[in-house]
Amino acid sequence: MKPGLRAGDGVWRVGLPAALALAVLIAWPLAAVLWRGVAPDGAPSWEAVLAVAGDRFYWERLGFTTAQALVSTVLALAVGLPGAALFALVRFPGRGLALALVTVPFVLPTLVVAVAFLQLAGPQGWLSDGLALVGLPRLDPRGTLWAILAAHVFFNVAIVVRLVSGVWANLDPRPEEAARLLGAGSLAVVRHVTLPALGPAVAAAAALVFLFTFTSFGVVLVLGGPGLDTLEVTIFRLAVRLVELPEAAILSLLQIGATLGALGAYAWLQRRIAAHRTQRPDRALPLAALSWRARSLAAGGGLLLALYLGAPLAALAWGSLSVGVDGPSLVHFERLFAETGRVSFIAPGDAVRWSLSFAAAATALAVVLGVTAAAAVARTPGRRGVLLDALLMLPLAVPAVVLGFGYLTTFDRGWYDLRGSAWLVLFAHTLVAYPFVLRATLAVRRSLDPRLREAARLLGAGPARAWRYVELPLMARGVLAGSVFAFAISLGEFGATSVLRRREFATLPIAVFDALGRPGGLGRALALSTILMLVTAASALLISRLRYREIGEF
Amino acid sequence: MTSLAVRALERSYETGAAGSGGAFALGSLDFEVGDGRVAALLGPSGCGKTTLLRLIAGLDAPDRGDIRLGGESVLALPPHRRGVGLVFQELALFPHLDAATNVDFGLRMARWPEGRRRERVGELLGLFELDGLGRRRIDELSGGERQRVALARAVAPEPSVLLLDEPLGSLDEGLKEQLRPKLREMLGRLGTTSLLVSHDLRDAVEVADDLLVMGAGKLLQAGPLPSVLAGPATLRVAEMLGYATLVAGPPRAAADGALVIVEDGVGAVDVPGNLRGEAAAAGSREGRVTLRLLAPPASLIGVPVGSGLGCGVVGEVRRVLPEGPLFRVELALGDRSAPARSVRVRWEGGGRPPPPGESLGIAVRPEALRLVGPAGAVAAAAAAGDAG
Repeated sequence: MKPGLRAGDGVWRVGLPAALALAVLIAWPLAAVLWRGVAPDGAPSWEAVLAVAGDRFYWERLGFTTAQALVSTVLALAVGLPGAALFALVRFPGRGLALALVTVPFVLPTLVVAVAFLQLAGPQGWLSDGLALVGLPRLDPRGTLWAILAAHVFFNVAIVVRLVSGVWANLDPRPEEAARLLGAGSLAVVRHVTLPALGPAVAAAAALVFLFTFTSFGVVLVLGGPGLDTLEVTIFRLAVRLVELPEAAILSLLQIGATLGALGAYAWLQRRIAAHRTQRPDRALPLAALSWRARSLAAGGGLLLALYLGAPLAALAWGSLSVGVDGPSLVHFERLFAETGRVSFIAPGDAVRWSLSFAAAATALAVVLGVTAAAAVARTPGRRGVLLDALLMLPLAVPAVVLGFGYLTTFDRGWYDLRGSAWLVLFAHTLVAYPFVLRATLAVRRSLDPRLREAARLLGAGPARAWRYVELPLMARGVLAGSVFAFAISLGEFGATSVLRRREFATLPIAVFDALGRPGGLGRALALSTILMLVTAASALLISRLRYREIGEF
Repeated sequence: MTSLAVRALERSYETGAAGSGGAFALGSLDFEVGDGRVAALLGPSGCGKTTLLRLIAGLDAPDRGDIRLGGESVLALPPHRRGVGLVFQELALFPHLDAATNVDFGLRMARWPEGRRRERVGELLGLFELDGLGRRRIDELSGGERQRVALARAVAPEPSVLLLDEPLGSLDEGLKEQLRPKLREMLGRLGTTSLLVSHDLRDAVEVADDLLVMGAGKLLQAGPLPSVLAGPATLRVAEMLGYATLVAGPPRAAADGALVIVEDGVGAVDVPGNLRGEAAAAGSREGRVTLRLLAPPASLIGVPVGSGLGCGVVGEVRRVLPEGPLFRVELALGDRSAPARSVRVRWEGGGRPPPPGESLGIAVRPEALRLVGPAGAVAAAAAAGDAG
């Protein structure tokens, strides 16, 4: 072997452990489930495929899933792009904190958001109260498309804001200045210079939003209704009735195909962004430097965004504190703990404990898996790299409920009979969470100057020490950001957990869903959701305040 | 200390992974940098200089050939075991470490004892005039300071060979002027065998002992700096070293046995006595051939037309460029509407040189002239070495 540091150097050494883990934790269970789909009786047959292809019901589900994902994406861009402009171009007090707060909805558990919208827009919610005041009928969001769309946008605004403003803030302002000197007006500059430069970032954000809304589960399960099921919810409904597992498997294949396409587009676009990235200082202007009109536009836009993102959460928190008309009280929370002894309810203290334990362990595993996977992707050049990237993001494409069923049908015998064990939940959480570590790590890794690694090598560091002392400290910030996401994602994971759940290790989202399904359980669900929201938001904010210098130094 | 030898080195074209710079095909390269010498490799951008350094450092592998340090092949060694220091064109300082820790990095990797490390870092910060800046972050340093930190970092673990890729490339012109003599002095004090790569002749002239001239992946000429500067082997090398073509045309015999090279519209120049044999031989061998007379950049002097001092070439003044208290004049040679080329001459006449549009003759000492034959080879003049 030639000793040169070619781009592909050592891909297999770093990639093999990650590949093995992924093979055992996802490829095998997935293959097992899909095999049941195409060969329900042990031999391949077209029966299930034909059953799905010939049934209009499934075609309608696919059509609805795609349409709502597209509309959600367009709406998220419409709300998120002005937000991105605000964060990229204006330096206002508390900008860092505001950006962290905008990110909170994205990491909130889907069930919490669904419950929050139920509370905000429900018949007794603030929105209905407002409409009643002006003589309009009260709303009921259950089973309506607009509730689903509103919740989807709520979640995914953060993706657009973060991804686009990150690129925008570092965009070289000189081409825009040049265009202005060449006679372009403000709008023409935006159209001909700024937007084309932001194009890949906007498209990448759109691909990601499409992906998340296409596979939406918790929101649709709670807010949806007849005719409003996404593929993922349909798969869940089919799969809980185990006899229809073959159909569920075929639909899973369909969903994996669609989401892989979105992931491939995203991976490709990310490379293009990295290629154009310049390490330029923040170009945002302080508020004082803006014109009166720009200032009021920024303030108005910021206020609207804050209202949209804040109102549902405020409604949730307020709802958990109110019983009837007597004003705020802690009755729901007291009941939560008072009824702990009763068998029918999941003990909230246990749920918090299990949720935090799963999240901590899954984050640790996800960091190891994500960092090695990022190293493998970064060292694989060209198209193979894009392909590997998309493949490693597979867990995002696989419906979580399918993953859950895969585990149940795979780890079911001999020494690896793990049915009913907490390990399966941990594995599922790790898999669902690690793509976020991979993404964040890859982003900083790509902006890393490869010469730094080479400089370390020439100064006597072997590959391992060059990684340890130069690459890792420089990537620490990205790894940290990714692990925050992983932690929050694990806290809110619902799809796979709902399949793998056992009362003994039920997590908070399971407890919320459990309460929602019981008569008179809404108060309980509100209280649990509030706890979950606070735990998630607190951990996200806490870790996002850490600075990399403190852990980056060696 | 160690000599660096490159033997029949070849590397085929590769688009280059991120950061490898513009890679280029290297032909069969052969050269040697003697123990403790400072060699400069001169070549235009994209001619394969950076690729060559990456091959020597072990960051890329050659297709064929050998690289020897102190007579031993290092081809099988990975970069961290070669004992080669490299100062990257972009410096590649570690942004998460301060200046002193950057310098310390190689010592740490080599597991020097704590006390000796501190001592060595202090010594190097002193040598490179960085006292008191050790705790500064990289982005708090000026361009010149960063450049010196990069140099200090590269030499800290006592590499047997030091490679410098456009070491002054990232600095502005004024800083370059200041740093060239300093770089020369520091490399001299270190005594490490060094190979410096640059596209700027001034870097080479002011810093190096030896000069290697490279073009399109091939070594065109190598040798001690003064002898390469005075005796370019080919027209191409001569042009890279700044030589100007005075006349290019067929040789004609003159009345008194002299030989003249005539170019229409430019003029006619006598071939100096020591080159006549060469010129006559080339002329008789191939009938109507084109011969050239070249002169080194500093040897051309502008003189008034008709003063009798000119060599027979007259040009039209295009621009007058002040150079300190003196002037340099750009002349267009050949037909007024479509000049063949332009040359720059010194103006030593006192006062202001003639304004643009007027004619000016060119004077040159005969010993400074070089004759280029039809094949592009430069005839070795008997009096080579006293140019400029």
